[in-house]
Amino acid sequence: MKLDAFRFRHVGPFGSEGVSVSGLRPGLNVVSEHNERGKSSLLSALETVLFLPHTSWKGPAKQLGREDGAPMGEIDFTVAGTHYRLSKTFRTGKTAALTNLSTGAIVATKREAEERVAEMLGFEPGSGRGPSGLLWVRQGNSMEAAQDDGQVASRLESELSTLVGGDRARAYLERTEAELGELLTRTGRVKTGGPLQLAEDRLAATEAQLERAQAAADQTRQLGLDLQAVEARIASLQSDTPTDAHDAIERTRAELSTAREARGRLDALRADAARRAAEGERADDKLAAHMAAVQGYDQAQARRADIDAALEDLARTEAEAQTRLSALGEELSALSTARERLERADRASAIGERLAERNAALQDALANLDALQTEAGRRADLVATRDGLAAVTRGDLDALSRLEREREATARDLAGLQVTLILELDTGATATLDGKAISSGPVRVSAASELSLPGGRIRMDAPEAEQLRSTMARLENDAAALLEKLDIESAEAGEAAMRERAELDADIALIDRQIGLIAPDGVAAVEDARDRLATEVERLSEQLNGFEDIAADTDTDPATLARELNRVEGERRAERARAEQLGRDRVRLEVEASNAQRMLANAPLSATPSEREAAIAALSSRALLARQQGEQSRAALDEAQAQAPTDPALIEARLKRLLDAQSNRQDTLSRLEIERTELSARRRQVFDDQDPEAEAERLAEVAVRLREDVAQYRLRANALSLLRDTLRSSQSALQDRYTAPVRAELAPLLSRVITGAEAELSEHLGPTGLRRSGGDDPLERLSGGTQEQIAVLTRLAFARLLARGGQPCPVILDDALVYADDGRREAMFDVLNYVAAEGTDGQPGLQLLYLSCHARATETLGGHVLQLTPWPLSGRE
Amino acid sequence: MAFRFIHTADWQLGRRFGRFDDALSGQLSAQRTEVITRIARAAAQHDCAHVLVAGDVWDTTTPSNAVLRQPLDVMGEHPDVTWWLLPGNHDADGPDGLWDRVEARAPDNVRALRVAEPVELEPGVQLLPAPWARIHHGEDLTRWMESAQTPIGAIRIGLAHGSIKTFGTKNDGQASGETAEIIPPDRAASARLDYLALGDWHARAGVNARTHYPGTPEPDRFKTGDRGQVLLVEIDASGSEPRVTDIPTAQYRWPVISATLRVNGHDAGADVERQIEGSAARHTLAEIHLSGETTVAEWAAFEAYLADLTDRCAHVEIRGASSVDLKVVAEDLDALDAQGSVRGAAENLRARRGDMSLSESERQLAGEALRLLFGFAATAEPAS
Repeated sequence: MKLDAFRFRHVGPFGSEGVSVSGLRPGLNVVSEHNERGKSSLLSALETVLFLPHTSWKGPAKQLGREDGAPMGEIDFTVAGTHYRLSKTFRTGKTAALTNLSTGAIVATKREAEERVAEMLGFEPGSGRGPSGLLWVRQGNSMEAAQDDGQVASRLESELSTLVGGDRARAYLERTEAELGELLTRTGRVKTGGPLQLAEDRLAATEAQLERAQAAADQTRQLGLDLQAVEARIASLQSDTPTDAHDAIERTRAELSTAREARGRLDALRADAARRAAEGERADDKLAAHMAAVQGYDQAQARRADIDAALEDLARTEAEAQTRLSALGEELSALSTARERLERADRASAIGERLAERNAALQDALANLDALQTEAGRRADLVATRDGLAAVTRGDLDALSRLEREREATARDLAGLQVTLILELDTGATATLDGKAISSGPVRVSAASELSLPGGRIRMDAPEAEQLRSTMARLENDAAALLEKLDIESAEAGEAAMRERAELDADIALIDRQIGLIAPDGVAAVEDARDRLATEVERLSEQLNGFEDIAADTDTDPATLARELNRVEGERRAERARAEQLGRDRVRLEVEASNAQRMLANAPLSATPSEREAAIAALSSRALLARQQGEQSRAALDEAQAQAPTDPALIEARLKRLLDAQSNRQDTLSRLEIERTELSARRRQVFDDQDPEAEAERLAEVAVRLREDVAQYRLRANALSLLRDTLRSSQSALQDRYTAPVRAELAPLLSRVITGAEAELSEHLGPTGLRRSGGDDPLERLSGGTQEQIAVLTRLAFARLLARGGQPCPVILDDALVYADDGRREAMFDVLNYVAAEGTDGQPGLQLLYLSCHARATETLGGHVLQLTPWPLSGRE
Repeated sequence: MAFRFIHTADWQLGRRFGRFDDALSGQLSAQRTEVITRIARAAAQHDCAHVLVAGDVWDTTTPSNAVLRQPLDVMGEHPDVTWWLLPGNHDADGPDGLWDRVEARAPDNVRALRVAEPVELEPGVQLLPAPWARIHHGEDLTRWMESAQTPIGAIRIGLAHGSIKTFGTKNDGQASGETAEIIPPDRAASARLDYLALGDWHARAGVNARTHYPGTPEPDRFKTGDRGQVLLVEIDASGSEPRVTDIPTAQYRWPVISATLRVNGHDAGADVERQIEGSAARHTLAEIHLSGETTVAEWAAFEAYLADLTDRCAHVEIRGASSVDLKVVAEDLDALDAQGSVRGAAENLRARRGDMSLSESERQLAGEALRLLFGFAATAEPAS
């Protein structure tokens, strides 16, 4: 198909005057108009007339509607060398006609006309759009329009003799995925809540139940074994004849009785032997005691005599010791007296020395007190003298001096108030100034001056003088008042008084220092010392008076006396120690004497030799008899022990063992009976319920079935996965074959715009991305301009494929490169011109219609520029 | 007059069938008790006063009171018959005290054979039982029969439970013992038995003229071999060869069916159907083992048949479906999709299924995926 011209009326901005575009050529045609010229409406009208049935007026067409008439249009085109015109009127007109322009014959009208056009252009009649994705690349939405609607695809399929599954393939894949989705998740895990998971859950639950059932069966089996064991044990215990045990016990009891009797006899013999032995021992003891008593009596008597002799010796020795002690005591008393006397003499001497020393100190104190009194008198005189002088201070004198200086200054000021009078005395005349005669000539007079002239006086006066005089009077008064206050007559007298006071003060200070030397702690301290010394002197004197009797006894040597005294005291202590020892000896001898006396008092009556002999003989006889009887008893005991009777304890132990065994057996039987009852009851309870073993078998079979279910689901899931993968793989492989020609056609065009790039195409032949040396970029990651350029280029590639297949199709671009930068736009313009031209390889050129409202942007596009002109009314209308 | 009795075994009372749903499981369990009534009828019908049960009367040694008591009551309801019950390996007379319980509750016409000693069934007929006292006894329990003394001229009938050494194959029946426990096949001769009534094998088997396994009277598993009968045994006199007749007693059949699918119009369904015949389908539990090859269309038809069969039968289990080779012809592919990718996928899967470099499971998986794809195609809405 090639477009030749198109015209519209009553559409969009085009009213009754209509619009006409004619003279379209093969190759690149360009319409460049500003926006208001209705470029977009022109395309919409073209699309509407081409594809919308004349009986319809819907969709985008409604926006084209106007009130001034029924929308209508004509499109002239060429197909296979024949020129046609498709005329349509919509809404109220509702006509359609296809005219062979070469012959002028109307080929078809109304629906038939539309079907013929659809057939020639290759689109579904009444679909509302033709291979629009190919024909139209609209402004700003080129990507949306770039998706193939199947027309190109079906043509390519037929050309390539390949088959894609189409809807059925998709349906199979979707169903496979849907059924697989029931079993597994997209990531291949078992789907929660799906039949596979339910089967697995049921299996797991059954296996858990099976485990419990098997445990229960094992427990039941064990119950049986336990019961069997208990019953066997009971049978074993019961099989032992109880009479045997009973007989054994009775036998043992009889043995025990016999053994106990034998033991009784033995014990009696043993007791008899012991008793006899004790009696023998007692008889021996008595004999021995008697012998000892007689011997002790003899010894006591001898000892008593010795003690009495010793006591007598001791009494003598004690008397001698007492005598020595008395002598020593007297000697010691004399020595002590001498020593006391010596000590008193020393004491008196010490007091005398102390008294002399204190007395000397007292005399010093009295001398100092006298000196102090003298100095105090002198000081009082000097103070009285000083206090009689005027109390003038240096400040007072300075004040007087200052008043005098002020008075003198005032006087000088007063005297300075002078004028010069030119005295011209008459000859002979005299005059006096302030009492002094003056002669003619200049006379200096002061304000206080008085000039006596003959016949009168001239007294000078001035106001300042009066003030000065007043000041001077005040100063004089002040000076007089101060002198009076100071009780002096003049400043000089004040000065003299002040000087004299200073000298007196110096003397007084000198006396004070002297007093300080004599009594550094004050006069009172000296007086206290004096009193204290006087008292002490008095006390010492009194003490000394008590020693007047020993004053002359100074012959004894104190050292000799001390040594003698020590010697005597030592001897006395030794003598006393001896006396004490003698006392202790006497006490001891007295105790011994007492013991001997007591022993003698307790001595047996048979103290006489004959009695002694008789007693000894009797006692010896009794002892002999007792020994013989003991030996007989011992022999009887030995004989009995030699017979080795069984220890009753041993038989008692055996009896106890037998009784215990009997009791234990009975206890065990009782316990086992209880155990058997319990086990039987438990097993009966088991039998009241379900058979655990049968239940385990049942569950094992359930588990087998469920495992088969799981395996079936697994097999199905695996088969579905394989089917899905195979379907996808097959579709993908075919898609590659299918899109290959488009990619081949697109590649050179794309490389002219984006160097080294290769487009990825979907099964619908739409671009999905761009592959470059740096990697793959999905479409959405590319810039809008790049996406747009790929879409346009893909469209051109489609069109070239169709054209090569003998089905040329115009491509209409509505400002399709609005996002392109200058460089890309220039490259795209090159491509547009390239595909518009017939190729050297026989590739037919495409017819392109490029509409733009950017005049400047299309200045470099080239191509054949078309103009919009009114569509004159023809007679037929 | 010949001595007549019913020889049966392996009732396995109380057996439960966990692989089936509760309803069917309950029915199957119940039939294990109900079959006693049918056995009693057979005994009455053939004028037998004795029913010899050769072990495994109960499925476990710990049946519940109900499972223990109800069959005893059923036996008691037929007082003209004396039921001789032998402990087997499943219900050994061991520590669980099963047989104490049995004796405590058994009606007068039920005898528990707990001791290996001759018992007089009738005057001139001696029964030599070989009861199991424990599961693994480690010896041939019938050995004692050789030396068992019985009155001269008496008919000697051995009753035992266990496997015969040289009989059957390893995978047939229920081999229950170790080698030492295996019963010699000539035990009847060596012990001068007129008949040795055996139990343990659930399938019917005749070892020799005097030695027989009756099989279970009510089948309980998918196994080959005759099941679901008792034996009528008639012995004219000591030393004479017994006459043994099979009497069916089963309510349910458990056929194991092999179905080989073939291309070119072979009706595998008809093959299966023939093997189902003979009993009400609702009382049939079928295990169908598939093999062979089929076309897409035939497979669809066969699947429909199986679905119908499943509805009719008590239970149907299909084995080996994934091993059936689905022959995909050009028409199948055309029917699947005239266009490219689906056809390509189908061809890819078909190639994988036939790729011998892949494992068996991988090839089967490819076959299953292919079957799914054709299943989708068969149930898909017509393409618009």
